Amino acid sequence: MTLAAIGLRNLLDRPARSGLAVSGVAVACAAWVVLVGVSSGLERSWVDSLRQQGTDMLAVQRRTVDILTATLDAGLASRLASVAGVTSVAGELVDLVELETGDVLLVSGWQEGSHLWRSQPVLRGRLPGPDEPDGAAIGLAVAEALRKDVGDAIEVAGRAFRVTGILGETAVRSPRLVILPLQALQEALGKEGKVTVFSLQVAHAGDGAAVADLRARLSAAFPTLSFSPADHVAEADTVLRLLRAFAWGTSTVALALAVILVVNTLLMSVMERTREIGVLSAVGWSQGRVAALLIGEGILVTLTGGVLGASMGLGGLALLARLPRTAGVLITHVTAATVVQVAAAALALGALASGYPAWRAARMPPVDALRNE
Amino acid sequence: MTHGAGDAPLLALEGVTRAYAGGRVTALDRVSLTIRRGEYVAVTGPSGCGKSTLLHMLCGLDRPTAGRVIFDGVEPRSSRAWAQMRARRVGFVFQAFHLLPTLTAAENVEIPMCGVEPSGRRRRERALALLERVGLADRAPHRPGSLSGGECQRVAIARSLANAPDVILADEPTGNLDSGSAAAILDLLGEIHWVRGGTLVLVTHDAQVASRASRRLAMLDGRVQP
Repeated sequence: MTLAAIGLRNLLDRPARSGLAVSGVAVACAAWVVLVGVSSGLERSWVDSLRQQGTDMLAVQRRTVDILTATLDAGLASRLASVAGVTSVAGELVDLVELETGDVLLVSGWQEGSHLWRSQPVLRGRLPGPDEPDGAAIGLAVAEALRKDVGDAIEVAGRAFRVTGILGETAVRSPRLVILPLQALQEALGKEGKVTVFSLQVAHAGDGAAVADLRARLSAAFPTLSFSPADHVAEADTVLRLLRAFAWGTSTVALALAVILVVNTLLMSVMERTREIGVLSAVGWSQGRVAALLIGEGILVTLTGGVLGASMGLGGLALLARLPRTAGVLITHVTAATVVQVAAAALALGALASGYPAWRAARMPPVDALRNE
Repeated sequence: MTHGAGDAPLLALEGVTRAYAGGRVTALDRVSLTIRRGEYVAVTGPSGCGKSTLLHMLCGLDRPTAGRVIFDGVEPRSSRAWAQMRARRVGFVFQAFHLLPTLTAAENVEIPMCGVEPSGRRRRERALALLERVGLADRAPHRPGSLSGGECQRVAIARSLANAPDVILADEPTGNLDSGSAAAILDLLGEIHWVRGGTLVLVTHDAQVASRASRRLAMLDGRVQP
C-alpha cells in the first residue's frame, strides 16, 4: 500500500465531492484547450495561407488595430518594388462580406497577374483570367455551404460574379475564401485605388539577417507602414493579439476557479478527517508525510481533471469543426505543446491547491485532532 | 528484548505540568514518575484527572507546559523527533479504536510501517502475521465498518505492534467494548506483554482492569497519588 493508494481510496470514498472537483478542473482544462486551440488556429491559418500564396513579408498600415479595417494607397506597390531586396509586390484588398444568403465570408481581391495567384490549388475549373473581371474563385467549403459550382453566379457586395473555379483544400484558409480580381472588388466595395495589405516576396527569404536588414530599410523608407515576416504576422494584428490574450486570460480565470474548488474540496476533507490525521500522527507519521498524502490527493484530482479536460477540449474542437454554424469559420489548431502545458498546469494546480490544506493538516496538533470526536 | 523490569527507566516525567486556557485549567500538575522496561503499569483515576494527558505526554502527542519528558535517556525536543520515536518505539491503542475507515484491516496495520519498512511486500506480510497473532487472519480484507468492536480493537492492537515497539500505550482500551470483548482484549494485551516482554502502560478508570497490572498509579486532579 502506497501514499497514492491511500489518497485514491480517500477520494473514491467521497465520490460526489471528488467527482465535482475533478469536473471543475476538467471544465477549466477543456476551456483552455478550446480557447487556445481556436486562437492559435486563427494565427496558424493566416500564416499558412500567407506562405501558400508566396508571401515572405507583409506590409500593413502602422499602428492599425485590425488589419482588415486598414486602407492603403495601392500606388505604393511600385515604390515598394523598387527597394533593393524586394522581388515582387502584390496589393490585396480583404474584407468580410455578407452574401445574399446571409453568410459572412472573407473576400479577398488580388492584383491581376501578381504572385498571389500562382500557387493557388484549383480543384475544379480555373482561376479568373485577365480578361474576366467578373470571375471568382471560391473555396471548397464556401462552394459546399452555398451549393455553388463552376459556372454559377455569386453576388458579392451587390455585384454579380461568376464562379470560374473551386479552390482545393491544401491551404487552411483557401476552403473558406472567395477570391476576386482586385479592381472588381475595389469597385464593388467602393474602395477604388485602395488595398488592405501588400504581400512582398523578397530575395534570400531564408536568411534571417538579410530579412531583418531589409525590414529595417523598408521601415525607414515607409514610415506609415509596418513590415512583418510571414511567420510573425500575427504579432502585427491587434485583434489576433487580443484574441490570444483573451484565450489565455479566460483560461487562467477558469483555472483559478478550479484551484479554489480543489482547495475547498481538500480543506473540507481535512476538516472531516481531523481524527484520522491525528491517528496518523499518533502512529508516527511525520508532518511531511501527512502533507504529502494531502498533496498527492490534490494532484490526483487535478491530473484526472486535466486528462479528462484535455480529452473534452479536443473532442469539443472536433465538434466545432463539424457544426454547421462554425465549420466554415472556426479553424482550430492544438499542438503537443498545448497538451503538455495543460498537463503541467494540472500538476502545478494540484500542488498549489493542496498546499494550504496540507499545511493545515500537517500543523494540526495530534492531541487536538484526536480529541475531535 | 528482555522480559521483566530492568533498572534503567524507559520513560521518565520530571515535574511535568500541562496547563490549558492560559493556565486556568491544569491537566497535569508537576508530575514526576519513571516507568522501567518490561513494566505493566495501570494508570487509574476518575474522568478528567489527567490520565489521558499523562499518556499523551509519554509519547509526545502533547507537550508539557513545564518539566521534561525523557524517553530512554533522551529528551526529544521537536515534533519530528517525537514522530520518529512514536513510529519506531511506541504503539498506541485508543478507546475508540481510531482505524481508518477507508482502509482494510490489513492496510490499517500497515499504516505505522509506512516510512519505516520500505518494502511493500514485507509490510503486507508483517500486517497479515500480526492479524493472525490477534486471531483475525480471516478478517484481513475487511474494512472497519464490517468488523465488531472487539475485532476493531484487535486490529488496533495489531497496528500498535507493527514496528515492534518498546512500549504500548493503551488509553481505555476496553471502554467501548462489552464485558466479554473487554476481557478478551485484556487477555490479549496481557499475553502480548508477557510473551514479548515489552512495556505496557494502560489507562483505565476500572479497578478490575487495573488489577491485572503489576504496578498501579492512581491519579487525582492532575497529580499522581503517593
